[in-house]
Amino acid sequence: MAVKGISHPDRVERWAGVAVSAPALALVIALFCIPFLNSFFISFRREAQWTLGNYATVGRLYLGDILFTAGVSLIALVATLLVAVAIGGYLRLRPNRVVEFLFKIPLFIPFVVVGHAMRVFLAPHGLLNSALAQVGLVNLAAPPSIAFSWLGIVVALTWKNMAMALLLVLGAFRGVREEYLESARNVGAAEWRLVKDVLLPMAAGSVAVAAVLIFSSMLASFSIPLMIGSGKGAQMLMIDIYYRIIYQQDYGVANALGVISYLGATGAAIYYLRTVRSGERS
Amino acid sequence: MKWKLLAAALVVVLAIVLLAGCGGNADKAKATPGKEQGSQAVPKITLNVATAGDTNMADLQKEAVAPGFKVKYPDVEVNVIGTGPGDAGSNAILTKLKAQKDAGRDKWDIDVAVVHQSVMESLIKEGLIDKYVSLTENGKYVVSFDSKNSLGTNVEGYVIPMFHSQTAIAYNPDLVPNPPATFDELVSWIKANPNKFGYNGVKGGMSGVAFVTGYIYWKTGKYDNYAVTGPYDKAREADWPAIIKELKSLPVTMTQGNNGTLDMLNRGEIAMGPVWVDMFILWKNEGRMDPKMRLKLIQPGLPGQPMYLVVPARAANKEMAIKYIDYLASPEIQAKVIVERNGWYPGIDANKVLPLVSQKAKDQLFKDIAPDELNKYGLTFPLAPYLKDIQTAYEEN
Repeated sequence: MAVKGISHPDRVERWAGVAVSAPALALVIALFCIPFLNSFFISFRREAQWTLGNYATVGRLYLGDILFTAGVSLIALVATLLVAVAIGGYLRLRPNRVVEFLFKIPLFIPFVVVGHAMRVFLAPHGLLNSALAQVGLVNLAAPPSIAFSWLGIVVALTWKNMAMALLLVLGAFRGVREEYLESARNVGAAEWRLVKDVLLPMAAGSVAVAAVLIFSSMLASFSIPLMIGSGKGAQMLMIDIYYRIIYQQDYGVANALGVISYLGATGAAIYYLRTVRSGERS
Repeated sequence: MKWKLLAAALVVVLAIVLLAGCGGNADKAKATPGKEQGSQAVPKITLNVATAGDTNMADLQKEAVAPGFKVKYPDVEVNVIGTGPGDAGSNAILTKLKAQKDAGRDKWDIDVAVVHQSVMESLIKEGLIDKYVSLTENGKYVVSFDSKNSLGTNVEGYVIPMFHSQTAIAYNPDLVPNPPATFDELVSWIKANPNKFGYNGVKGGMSGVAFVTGYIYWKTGKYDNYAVTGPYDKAREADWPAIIKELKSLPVTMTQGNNGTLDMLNRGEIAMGPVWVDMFILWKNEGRMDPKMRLKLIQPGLPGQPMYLVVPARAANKEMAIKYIDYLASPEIQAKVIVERNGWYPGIDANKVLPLVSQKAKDQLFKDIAPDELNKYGLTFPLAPYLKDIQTAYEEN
């Protein structure tokens, strides 16, 4: 927006703009940029030498875990968005305060509590299986173990992030003007078509923002995978980082894993910027 | 234009106020360290107690030790600092002391430190801690093996163990009427009862690490070299990959951490698993563990570990620090806090402590694992580099 030969008030306004954004920028630099660079450098250091050794160790031991983390986060993200769009669509078309409140409850429940609750609920001898056993659907001698498999992590992450997604999606749906819905109804669109063909395309940007935010937070989930999931096989990345620091005092590999997580989250953000934003501009 | 400028100015003012507010709070927090109750007089001495370990370790000092000590020494304010779980917490203390030594400070800001075995070698080598035990009243009761030897380092005179915690196999007597007494029997039992034995591998808790370590001790028979005499020699790890592969091929349930094993045992999803004895007792005391569950310390043994009380070489309040440790190592406090409150084994001579312990706590602690069994089969963890290699080998094979 900078133009040659700007008049005096405009210049004042520009400086005011700089002044306003300075504190926020300073915070981002101090709390994100510097730690990230620090982490980036440490990930290439081992015994005071520059090396790629930390990444070699990651490749040797944690490649499966990286894919597992991305996979679990993706599946949980899809499940979260499906629930949020379905419920958001329903609430946009038929407002219902009680239902809306019920779906916002997970917002106020800490991750650790969710992890423990899900562990108790979904364990082989947990509440769910015990209840199903009462009606003869589950044999408690050989019960299915949802809590201690990847599915447990997906269920817990989905439940916890559903409220956040719903908040963002519903806000966007409410921004869609009633006239569009009316015209669609006039040509005989059913409710699910209203959601799929009117609300969702018009709120695509907001849904994408929700997706990026939630995907990043799922990549970074720690307390839930610490309590559920299987001790066997692949682990979520944050568990590996914790283990490298606490048990091996190995900050090099821990930071290499951290950098890879950053890149994963950044990748999602860049993808969103390039696809959604460009779509909005055209 | 004008209102934009106004808004901008407003935002700047708000930001400044916010930042100033944060700064102000930080200053306030710094100005009143360890303030717990509104004491009227300004305390003459602030005793800084740094403890490694989880939040429960800091709570222990704050809630169970400091109040009683303050009754004896009213002009002392005890300031407890938790430095974080696991060996990383002990490393933080080591790093801090070393930094103060390198900076040439003559008064260090840690008076008493509670640390794991892994940092003892460095603490002594760097001259960061004092030989203080002979200056204490209760030093004469310090008799255990781990008060003299810490993972191959001679620590005699430098440490009083605050407690000793032990891993053992917890089992459900309804499902396991005749619990295995040896690793041999345990492995046969695991094969005969697939997925009924659970442990957490090497992530999320030391109970799993202890089990893997015990398994390696049993298979190699090299406990003395690994844990007592040393020296560290990578060539002695040649047979580990095969041993680990064998261990990993057993049909077991993998749990999520120390708590995961206790949880699954309590719900009957597994029938046996390695646990920390103190956690097991704590869970029973809190009603989170079925009271019928029992413990077994199998032969040739499982590792346990103490945490040590040490005094930094240039502690600002050395005299008071030694008094604090003396108080904590007294048979009364060992009985009340270490054994009854926390379910640990005492750090000093058990014969001096047990007469003061309630019958209920004694039963909890020694019903399943008699004191002589503990002496025979309570092992220690290996030298620090071996311990790291065990965890790495477990991940890689």
